[in-house]
Amino acid sequence: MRRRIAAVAVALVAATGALVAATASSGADSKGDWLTYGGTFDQNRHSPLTSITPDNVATLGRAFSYNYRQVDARIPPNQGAIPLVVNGVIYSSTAANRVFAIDGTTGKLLWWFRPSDTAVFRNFGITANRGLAYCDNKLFLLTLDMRLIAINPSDGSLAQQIKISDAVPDAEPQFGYSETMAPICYKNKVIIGGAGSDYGVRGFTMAYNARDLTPAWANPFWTIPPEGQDWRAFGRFHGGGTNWNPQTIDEETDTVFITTGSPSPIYYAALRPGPNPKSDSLIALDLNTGKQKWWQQQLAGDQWGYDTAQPALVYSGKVGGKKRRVVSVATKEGVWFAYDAKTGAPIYQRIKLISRIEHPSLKPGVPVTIYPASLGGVNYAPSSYDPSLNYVFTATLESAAVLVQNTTSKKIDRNRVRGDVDLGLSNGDFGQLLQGWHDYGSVTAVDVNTGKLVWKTNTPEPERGGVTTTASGLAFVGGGDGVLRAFDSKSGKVLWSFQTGAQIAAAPVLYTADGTQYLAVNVGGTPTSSNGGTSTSRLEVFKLGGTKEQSAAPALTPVPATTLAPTAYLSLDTKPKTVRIQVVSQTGPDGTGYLDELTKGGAIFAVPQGWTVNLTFSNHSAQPSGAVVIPLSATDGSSTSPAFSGATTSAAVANGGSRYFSFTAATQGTYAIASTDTAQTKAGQWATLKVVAPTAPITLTLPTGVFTIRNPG
Amino acid sequence: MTTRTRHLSGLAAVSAVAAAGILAATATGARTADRASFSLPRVFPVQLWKATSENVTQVTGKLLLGGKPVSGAQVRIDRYVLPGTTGSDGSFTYALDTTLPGRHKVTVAGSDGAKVAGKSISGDQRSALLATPAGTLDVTYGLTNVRSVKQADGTFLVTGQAGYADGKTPPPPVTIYTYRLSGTILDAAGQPVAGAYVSTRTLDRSFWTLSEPTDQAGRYTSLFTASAEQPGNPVPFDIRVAQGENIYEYPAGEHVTFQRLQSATMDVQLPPAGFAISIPVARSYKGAVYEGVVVGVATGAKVIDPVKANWLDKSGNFSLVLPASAAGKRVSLWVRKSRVFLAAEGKPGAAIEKDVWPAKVPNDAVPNVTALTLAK
Repeated sequence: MRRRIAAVAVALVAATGALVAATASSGADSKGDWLTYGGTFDQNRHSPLTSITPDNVATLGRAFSYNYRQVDARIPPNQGAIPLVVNGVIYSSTAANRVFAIDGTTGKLLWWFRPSDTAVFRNFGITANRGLAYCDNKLFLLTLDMRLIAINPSDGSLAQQIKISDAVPDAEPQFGYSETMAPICYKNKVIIGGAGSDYGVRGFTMAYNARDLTPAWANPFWTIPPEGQDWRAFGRFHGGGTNWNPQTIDEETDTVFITTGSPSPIYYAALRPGPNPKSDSLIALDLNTGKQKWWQQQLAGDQWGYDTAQPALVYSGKVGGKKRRVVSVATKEGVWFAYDAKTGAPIYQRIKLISRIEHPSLKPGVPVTIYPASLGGVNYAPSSYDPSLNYVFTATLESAAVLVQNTTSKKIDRNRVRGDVDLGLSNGDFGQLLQGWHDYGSVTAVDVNTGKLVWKTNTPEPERGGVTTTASGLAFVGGGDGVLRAFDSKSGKVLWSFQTGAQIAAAPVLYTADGTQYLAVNVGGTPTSSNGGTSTSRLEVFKLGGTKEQSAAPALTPVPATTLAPTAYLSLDTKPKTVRIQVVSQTGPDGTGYLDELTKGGAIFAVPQGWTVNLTFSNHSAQPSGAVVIPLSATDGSSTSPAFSGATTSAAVANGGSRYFSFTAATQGTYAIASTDTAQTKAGQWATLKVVAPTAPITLTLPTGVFTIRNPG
Repeated sequence: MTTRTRHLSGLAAVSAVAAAGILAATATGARTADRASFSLPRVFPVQLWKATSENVTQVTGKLLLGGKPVSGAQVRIDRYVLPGTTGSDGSFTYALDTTLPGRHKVTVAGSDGAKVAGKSISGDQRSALLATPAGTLDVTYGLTNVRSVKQADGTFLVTGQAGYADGKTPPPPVTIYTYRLSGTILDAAGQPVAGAYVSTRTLDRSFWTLSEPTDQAGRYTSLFTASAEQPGNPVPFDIRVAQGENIYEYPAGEHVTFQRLQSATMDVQLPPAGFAISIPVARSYKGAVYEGVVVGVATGAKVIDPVKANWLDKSGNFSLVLPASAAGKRVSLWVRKSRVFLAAEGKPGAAIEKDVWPAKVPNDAVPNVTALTLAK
């Protein structure tokens, strides 16, 4: 069934900051929608809904779940998106840029959308997508390969798509850019940034007209100098300062607040001397022109990867007893800042949210332990503001890492070019785990009136999702242990918890549909936390009186190495009882020919009797060669007659060429996939093929381990 | 004999160029009285980017019809439609990013409310407005101290200095931009595959590059750097081909190797349905794509093929030797940020390989930055 959704015209009531739907054919309570990433454009993540209260939250239970991967198994098993809810329909993106519309009362799939060319997404190290924008009766999605896509919310059809580089020069994936953020659409302007600090891109923010995706600003707002200027003069791969999380709007002044990432090479500040202005910063822009109003840097000359990542919050709160318009933000360093929203004048600086902050300067070749790790602190997880308490709530990551700055000479770095990168670290992208340390999380509340922490509650695993509060006095947060918790906003006491069964790295949203209040959260976690052990991509929805049956806790240890995973040397085809094998003929340094880097049957394939084998043969050896399946006894060079009908390339293949053949593994026994050249076979250029029992597993045995594919029967 | 041109530096130089270079393009086929055109200050020197600045220059141009100002028309610069319409004097203002060299196209986006001398215009005139030839706003490095010297052999040595608007900072010197990976993607039947992407991934830094999509002939090119933190040559890479929803990957641990810091070709044939992809062989060769600022000389759109030309040196100085046949000609200088493949290393001040020199002024070059007359 497809469901048509009426257009919703949104009027904004500046005096209260509340959202009012002017028309909604269903008559749904306007307060019940969740129309933008942070609920409201000020990113306060504070729901006016009050049905779920501290007194009844204990009866909150699961209403339904929806597994996004059930319709497309290629959706990566992680999930960091914050859904939108419009007229009772949940719209959510997933990793690798699929979009779903789910009925908010039944959990029924209404439609799902997959952009074109998704195979290329497999190249991206981080495939997360953190949400959508909604306005002008369209949904807006940013794709990993730097497209901005408009989707019709009624049926999921593509309305329009553009390349971001059409208006933002060089904002292309081959230069290191990617999109993982939720765009923001305010006053029919779709506002975006882009990720890629690691790869030395130039940070930007840009606005488009929702109507036709033409540029709404004359130029992108660039956060850092052009390539080759100022502190980017040293090399082509120097850059950063990306605005990779959603923007915040001050509706009182039509100001756009953006946050920016670290400069790169991330861990090698000596190659980009100085404070690297506007990296790790909070910047205020004019909504209509993109012109800069003011900026404040939270960390100058960063060398630990401590982005100012999360969206800022803007609100009117008491500071020292006086009402002020405040914009605040927490950083990956684990500290919190507040500024005057109009002028940027500091109000509070470096308020410590996490327990341990120690980060000595890095030195080439020397292990340095830092707290927190470059993951944070406070990563992209959004904070929440409760105006009645005047508290800001933040989900944090209490982490540590050992960093070893690399010893690459400046000469080598100067020679780096487009298409190259160096983070400046010799022990991985994030360093190594500190022995004996286990990352954990915490949820904090800061009193804006005093700038002091009023409560802090630790959780067993990192909090990467973010906080959503309610006018009824609850703060909902999901953590890396898969547990969704409801805190008493005032005291920090945990009033309710629910094991969802999967790591959580997205903040919840609240909505009403058909008169019932729901809480929705995406689960699946992020590969850069929770020990990398993510396994699903799922929507979980709760309501009062829902089922209390909880899921088993997710595994928190990394998935073991690939000994049980299939390999492309050996894989199942989509046709039943068909297996694909690839062998490569090569010439070793001593001129010896070998197959798959092993000689004399060292690579052993096992295929069930009666199965079809599709064999790809590639010749990388200097001399022409072919492949044939022969009885094992013929590896003495006595015969090149195929053991099975069709099991030969027939002709020899030239260097660099390939041939394909199919055969049925008709008879159990041990055979050889050998060269068609008997001399080469005699010299050892053959792999073993075992035809095993029809129900036995399909395996490839190599010196590094046994790769096994379950026999589906 | 030495001929010296205007000294072009900073805004004074712009004014000088603008005065000489007002664009008066007209709509083809329109009566003279109804010809539409833009009046634009055309060349702006590149400014240094400042964290505390807007980094834009407010540019004012005019839209004219039959030489008279057009009010109420909409103007577009590249893809951006200016808010509002042209004023009573035909003027419009645009915030031009003058920190990036480039050429910006100015066109008419709408003529519905257009008026001339306060009067509505006819349908034909509206059509003429919409067909107004595109104007251009150019941002490029300024040229100063441009002079020519007739040499004993009759050739002309043209010298000068290119730089930012501050008059002190030279353009970035020629440097390597990328090595090049190219090749062809064919399907199992040997037919070209369009719209496929080739990616390369380093083994030690998790860095990858992505090609442009293949064209109708299956050809692709990609940024590429055959380097690794670990010593050794050749350098292994993971290779993938992505087409639509399908990804073609090679077995874990199976790599394609490339000669360190060289360019390469790599053709890939996709397998028949049901088969694994065959592993390609890369063929490396020396050379890379270099990027640098080039100054050339033209008469009209035709480039005067120099006897010798050099990359800018580290101070931004350039020199060209023009043939004796150019004697007595009024010539203009163009400036281009070039990306060219060179077999030998491109160095500041070194000679530019002749075979990369264009025959006509390229579209991405800023023409007529300054002019001079060569001695007879």
